[in-house]
Amino acid sequence: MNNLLAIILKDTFTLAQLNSRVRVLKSTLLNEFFGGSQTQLTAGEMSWLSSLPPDAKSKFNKDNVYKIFEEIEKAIKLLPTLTIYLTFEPDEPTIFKIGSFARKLYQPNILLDTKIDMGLIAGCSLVWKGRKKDYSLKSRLDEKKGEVLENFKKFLR
Amino acid sequence: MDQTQEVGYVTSSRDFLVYLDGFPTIKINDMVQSDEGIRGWVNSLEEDKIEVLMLDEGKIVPKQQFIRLSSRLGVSVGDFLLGRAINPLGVPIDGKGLLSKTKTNPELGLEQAALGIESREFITEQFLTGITLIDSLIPLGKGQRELILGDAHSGKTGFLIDTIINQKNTGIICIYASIGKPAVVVRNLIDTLKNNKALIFTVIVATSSSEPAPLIFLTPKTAFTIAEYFQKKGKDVLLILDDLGTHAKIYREIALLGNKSPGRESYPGDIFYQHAHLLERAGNFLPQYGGGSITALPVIELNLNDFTTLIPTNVMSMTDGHLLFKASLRSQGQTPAIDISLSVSRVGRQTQDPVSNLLSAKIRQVLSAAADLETISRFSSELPPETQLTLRRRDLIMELLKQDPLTQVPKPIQLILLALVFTTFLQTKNQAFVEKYKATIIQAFLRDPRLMPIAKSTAKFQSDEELIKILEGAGPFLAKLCP
Amino acid sequence: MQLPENSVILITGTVAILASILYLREYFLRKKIIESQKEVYLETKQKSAELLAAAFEAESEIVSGGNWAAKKLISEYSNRLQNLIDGSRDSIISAQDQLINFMRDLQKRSLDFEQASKVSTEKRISQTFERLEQKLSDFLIQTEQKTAASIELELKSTRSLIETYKNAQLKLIDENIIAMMEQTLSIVLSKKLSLKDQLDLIYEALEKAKVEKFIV
Repeated sequence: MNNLLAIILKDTFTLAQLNSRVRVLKSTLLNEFFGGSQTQLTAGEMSWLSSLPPDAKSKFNKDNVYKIFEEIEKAIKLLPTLTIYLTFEPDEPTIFKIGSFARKLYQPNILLDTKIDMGLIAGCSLVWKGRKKDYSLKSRLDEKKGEVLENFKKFLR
Repeated sequence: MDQTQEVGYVTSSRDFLVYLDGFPTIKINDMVQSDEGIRGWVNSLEEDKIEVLMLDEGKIVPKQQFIRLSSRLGVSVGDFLLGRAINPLGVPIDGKGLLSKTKTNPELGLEQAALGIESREFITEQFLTGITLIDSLIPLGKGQRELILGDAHSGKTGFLIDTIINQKNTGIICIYASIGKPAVVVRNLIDTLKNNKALIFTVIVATSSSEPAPLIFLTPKTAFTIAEYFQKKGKDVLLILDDLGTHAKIYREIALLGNKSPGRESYPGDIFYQHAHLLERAGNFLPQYGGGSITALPVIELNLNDFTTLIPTNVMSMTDGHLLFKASLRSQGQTPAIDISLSVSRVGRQTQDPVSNLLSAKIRQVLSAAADLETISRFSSELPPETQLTLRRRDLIMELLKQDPLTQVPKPIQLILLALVFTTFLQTKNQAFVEKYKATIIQAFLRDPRLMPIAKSTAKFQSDEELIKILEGAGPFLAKLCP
Repeated sequence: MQLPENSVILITGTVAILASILYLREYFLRKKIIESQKEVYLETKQKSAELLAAAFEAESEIVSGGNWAAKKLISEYSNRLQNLIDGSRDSIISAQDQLINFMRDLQKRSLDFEQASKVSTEKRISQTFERLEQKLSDFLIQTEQKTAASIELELKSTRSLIETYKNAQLKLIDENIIAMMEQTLSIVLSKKLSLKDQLDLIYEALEKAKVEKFIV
């Protein structure tokens, strides 16, 4: 059921967003098939659900819904994830911009995992496959610590 | 942060067991730390996850970031450890402040392979415990591994403390690993050793039962690492592991939590390896490998005197003998409460001097003969004089072998006491007489100018007969002392 | 080396006592010899007087008896007298010579002894002083060296201590400056930096990661 995942991935860039969207879709479908109480969806979630192509949902039926979602969840775990530490809380358009940029640069199915680290001052640090590299202003400051201090001391005198 | 750093993220956690994702180049026994400063060590590596055992307690949440520490699992060693109590990571727990002010102490890894046979030497020197029963009948050698088995409250710990205290002025370093015992027990141990001036040559490695299981699991490894440091400096080391039963249970807990398949008594398959690997680090070493020795006394507490369960039989098979303590003997007033017939020492005999060797063989003969005759004696009212003598001698021996806690009997006096049983002086006496005058006789041989030469020259005798003959001569004098 | 003054005093005292004993002995000896001389002289005188008296008697007899016999007698007596006088003079002279010799010898010996003891004492005193001087100077030099070394060491450790303290302080100040700057920057930048600037920084970082082949 990878083409459904591909459809979702098209406008989903972060791991958190992907998980929540899959969950929303799953609960909606389960509700449709088996009934029960549906949790209240937010406006954003509603609009996202309606933005899905109509044939995406048509493949589900009572028998395969659990299986398909199991496969999707398994596939999500295998997606390449780039953890990115930011200094601000990104809103959706920002994530869209960063995500599409990263996808253009690397792979079309790369996922972002955003975290906040205020200590970075500005810029970001990246974690890829267990390795972390700091590209923020702080790392550049640390690099040029000596020069900065010297200038600062000159200014003091 | 201009260099690339390795990080890992928590994927799942179960109690003190945490699985991480990331760390492309991590190795077993590396240390990792969470952003909140909680440390753990890598226990096993799987294809897609890293199993970490946490050493500190704290909050672990999924997705939490871990960084790799530069240090591996180890403990910094040095002479500054003497007189101190530390936990398995080398952090002092006795409230006496920092261990050492200089920071250039060597740090030794906890996990060391035992030295091979090319580095080992035949055990030739006797390890004196100062306890008559052991030094004469079940002698230990320097570098031997002797298992201490026994019920709860059978006097095992008391015996171990006595043994440590009796190493005063011998230059032997004692290391006491207290594995998962209550904190108050460790406190008592420190105080007892201190009051008897035995703390200065002792290192205590302790974990209390409230600490995380992985930390308790490391206790014997740290103790062995410290012992190896002193052994490499040419010292004789006494290492006590109290107790390995708890250690096995802790390892079972870790293994079961880590989904390892349980074996007999639910212990994991490698429990034998874990203990054998550990105990093999003891021994007597050649000068080019440091020249010292590590005498290991692992302790296992038995349940209802049953030593046929997995862990006791395992450890019995990897040690050079065992001492069996019995609570029933202790309640009968025998201290130390060691069952002589069920205790063995596979190495100690070769280290004994000929006189003690011959004498202890004689004593054993009397004891076994008396055991045979005892059944007969129950049925007949009138016994032949030889049988009566044998039975009386057995009683005398058992009385002479009794020794109060915190007392030491010097080696020559041990010999004299046991040889006295075969002289005419004691032949007619009974158990009550020995109980009453034992201290007087010991004092006489230690202090009296007429008897002192005998005590001093015991090492020179060729056979036990000679010693018995000399003591025969001292009989009338002793008779005067003990009216 | 020990008690040098005492030993000097002891030696000088012994020498003085010896000299005075010798002198006393000499004095008594001399007295004795003079006395014996006197005795011999008196004896001689008496004997000669007796002889003279006898001669006079005989002379008067001879004169009365005969001149020849008288002459003979006179010459005989004068001869005997001469012999006697000669003998006594010889003995006097020899005794005197003996005495003089003895005196000379004694004087020489005492002089020799005095000289020898003087030389040895002087030698010992000078040796003692020399040794004392040597030891003192050694001690002084050693002490000086030790003091100098210990002062040097103390100074060195103090200096290094000050240095490490200074370095630690400077490092702390440096760190504080950086921390201050970082904090200021993060406050300022989080307000002043536009979203576009932030995004540019992130794009830049992503591109850099690609260039460095950090992400492949």
